[in-house]
Order: sequence, then C-alpha cells, then structure tokens
Amino acid sequence: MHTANLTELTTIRHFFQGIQRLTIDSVLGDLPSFDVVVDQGTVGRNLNEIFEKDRNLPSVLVMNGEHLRGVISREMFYYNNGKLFGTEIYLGRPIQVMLETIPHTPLILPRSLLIILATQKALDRQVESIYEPIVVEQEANRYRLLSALMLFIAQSQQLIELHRQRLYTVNAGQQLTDRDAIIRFVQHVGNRPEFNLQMFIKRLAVRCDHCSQTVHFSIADIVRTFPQLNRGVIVEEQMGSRMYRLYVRHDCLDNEIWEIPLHLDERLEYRSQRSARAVEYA
Amino acid sequence: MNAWNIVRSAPPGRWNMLDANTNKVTGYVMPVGNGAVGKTSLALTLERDTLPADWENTIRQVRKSQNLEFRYLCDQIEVNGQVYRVLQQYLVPPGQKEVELAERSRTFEDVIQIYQSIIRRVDVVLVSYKITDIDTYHDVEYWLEKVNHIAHDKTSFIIVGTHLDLHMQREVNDRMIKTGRDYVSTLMKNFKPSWKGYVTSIEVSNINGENILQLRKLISGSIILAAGIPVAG
Repeated sequence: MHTANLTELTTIRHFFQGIQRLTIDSVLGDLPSFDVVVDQGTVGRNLNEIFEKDRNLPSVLVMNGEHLRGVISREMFYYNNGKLFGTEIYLGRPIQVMLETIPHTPLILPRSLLIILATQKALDRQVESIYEPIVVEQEANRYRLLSALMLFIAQSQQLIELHRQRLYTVNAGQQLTDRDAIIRFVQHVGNRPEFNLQMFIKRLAVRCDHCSQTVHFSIADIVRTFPQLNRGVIVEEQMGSRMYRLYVRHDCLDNEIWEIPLHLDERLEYRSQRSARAVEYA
Repeated sequence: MNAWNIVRSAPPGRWNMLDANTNKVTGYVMPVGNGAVGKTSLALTLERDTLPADWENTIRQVRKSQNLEFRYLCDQIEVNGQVYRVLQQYLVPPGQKEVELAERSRTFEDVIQIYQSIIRRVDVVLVSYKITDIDTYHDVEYWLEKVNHIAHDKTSFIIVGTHLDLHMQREVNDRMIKTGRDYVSTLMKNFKPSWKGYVTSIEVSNINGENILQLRKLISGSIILAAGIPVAG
C-alpha cells in the first residue's frame, strides 16, 4: 500500500499549491493522484482502520492480484456500514462483499485524457456517483485514484487560465496593421475633420497608479487590444466638446491585466486619466 | 484700509448710510457645481482683497455645504463714468446631486425646493468646476439643467474654473472652455428662448487668490447688466 501526497492535497488551497498552472492541453496525468491499494480479501475491519488512520483518505483501489476489482470510497464504506446490520455484514468479511453491493462500476480513464473531456465523462455519471473518485489508468494494470473534487477544481482552474489567455491574447493584440487599426477606429467613432494620421500612430505614455509602470501605447494599439472596440473606445459628447474615453491595457502586478481609463480630447490629445482597474472585474 | 474695505465691512442694513449719493445695485449670485469644486471657498475668497498668510489652511478647513448658505459682499464698479456699489448676495447651495443619494445632507435639489420662496431671482450663476477634474467640467451641463428655471432673461453665466494654482495638472483646456461657452449659450437659449444673458469664463484660485478680483468685477458687471443698466463694450 502506498499513499502519495495525500496530506498536502486535502484542501483546495494546498491543491492549488501542489499543481503547476494548467493549460487547456493538460491531461489527467498532470493532476495529483494517489494510489492506496487493498486486496479484495482485506477484511472490512482492516479497511476501517485504514480510513480511521488517515482521515483525509477519500477512497481505496480494490485489487484482485493485478486486476482492478473496483473502488471503495470513504462515503460508500461508511454508508454501507451504517445500514441495518451493516457492521455485522461488512466489518468481519472481505471487502469484496461490499464491493458487490455497489451498484456502479468505477469510471476508469486513461492518464492521457484531456481534463476537460474527463470532466465531461465524470459529470456524465449517475447523480449519486458524480462525486465518486475516478480511476486513472497509468499503464496496463497500474491505477491511481483521482478525486472528483480535484478534477472539478482543475477544470475550473483551466477555465480561469483560458480566460486569462484570452485576455492576454487581447492584450497582445489582434493581428491588425496600423492602417487597418486606424480604419477600424475611424469606422467606430466616425470620421472627423480634426483627425490626421499622426494622431493615431503617435506614441503616448501613461503611468499606472497600481504598478507604477509607464505604459506606452498608440491609438492603433488600443484598437488591436479590443476585438469589441466599443468596450475600449467610448465617445462622449459633453459641453459641446467631443471626448474619447479609452482603456489602455497592460500587464500589471502578479501577471494580471489592468486597464487605465483615459480621456482624450477631440484632437486625440491626452486630457486625464483615472485609477487603473483589473480587467477581470471591469 | 481703502474705500473698498470700508464699504465691504458695512452690513447691508447700514449700507445706505455710507454714501447716499452713490448708485446701488443688488444682485443675487448662485455658485453651482459638483461637490468639492470650491463653491463655498470661492464665496469666502471673493470677500477679500488680500489673502492672509494662512489662507490656504483656512480654505482647506472649509466644510462642505449641507444647506443653502448665505453670504454677501459689496463691490464698487465704475460703468460709463458712473460709480456703482454692487451688493453681491451669495446663495451657496450644496454640490450634492439628487442622483448621488445623500443620506444625511441635503442635496442641491432639496435646497432649491425648500428655499424656492426665498430664491426669487438669480442674476449671476457661477458654474464652477475644477480645472484638474474633467468630470466636474462635464457636469456643468447637469447644473445648467438644474438652474435654468431660476434664471431670468438677463441672468449671466460665468463658467468658473477653480484650482488654478494646480494648473500643471489641468484636465480642461482653453479650447474646451471656448467650445463650452458657446455650448452653454446655446443650451440656455434652448431652455429659455427669451434668455438674453451672456456667458463668460474665468479661472481662479481660492488658495492664492489669482483672478479673484477680476471675477468679483465680472460678477459686479454682470449684476449691473442684469439690472438693465447699459454697459458700453
């Protein structure tokens, strides 16, 4: 019997500390798993001791020699023992007996399966077994257990990462030439007699009040940053003057993307800026 | 102490006794604008010819208006060779907007409603904004909408940019102000087709007193105009 990294994986916080940043291509094998194995002949009382000894242990693999017979989770074990005459039936008898009463078979997935697909399969189970652990097949007849909760957290982490990647892509910009970007800008705000080419490609600089970096940008850069231009360039007509509210995005502290709201006047000259804000919460 | 100081130090009730032969005009001035742009400080600073050394501290300690505040000052102005003594009666409302949902203090709209019987006419509206905060300038439009009903046909509008001492941080430039003046004029004519007042602008500092005297004269001149006295030029 072998336990691997169990203690440190028992909280979500530790889970996040324990794994590298996941990508959309991450697979089950990239996730922390554990392999607590008992033979099918193990008496229920002994399994009880195993669960008692390590209260964080969520489940065990039940093997028949080299063959996987099934999985008994802590919940399932105590659920069965809690039934009428449960302890009399199961504690003194091989765990195989209990295994035969479990209606569902364990979900076995290859370690190379994408997390996102594995999550789908895990969620495709019967409602009562959705939170049962998943068996990850490392190689022929070598299995490890993956907690369903960990899988779901991993997928959530992936979604966050995806979102972040999308923002980074947005930040890095669409593949637009200056010319195309200017055309998009003019289409968005309307052509104005005061516009000239220099206004759009002139480099401006603002200081982020969050990270104190100086951020250099041009109007064309802002257009590249926002696939939906109406979220990054807003026209305001006030007091008879036309103003442009622009959001300049940059990599701020902790690899977060923040945007600095700017006011440019009708000649696209800098007038003011406001406090930077995290894009995620914008 | 110069003549101005003597006049100014007299309460309005005794004003007539000071110089019975001088033309006297009284005008009502209402500074409006967002909270903290310096409306109350402006009224305080306008009362003084010279500012004491610790004026900045005094100004920084000015509490925001939570009700309609009344102040006055007397000015002397020569128009077409005739000296006028102008009593400028200030009605300083809070800068809290109704939409800002103040819980404890009264909003501008509350005050106007409560004191509508007192505010019979407003000759000069000081539409105030901070030159260092473009949002306060943009809100001038809001304030015009709120005060146009208490303006009469000759009410003048003076767009007053405060915090001139911080001009290095200005967000509102001359071009915008020029456009703004024309815009205010158009807006007022839309609100009140019979309106024939005028719109001007000035930037002042309540801290160092820059342009304060010019503003005071501008207000006096506006009151004279509102009184129907023809002013050459």
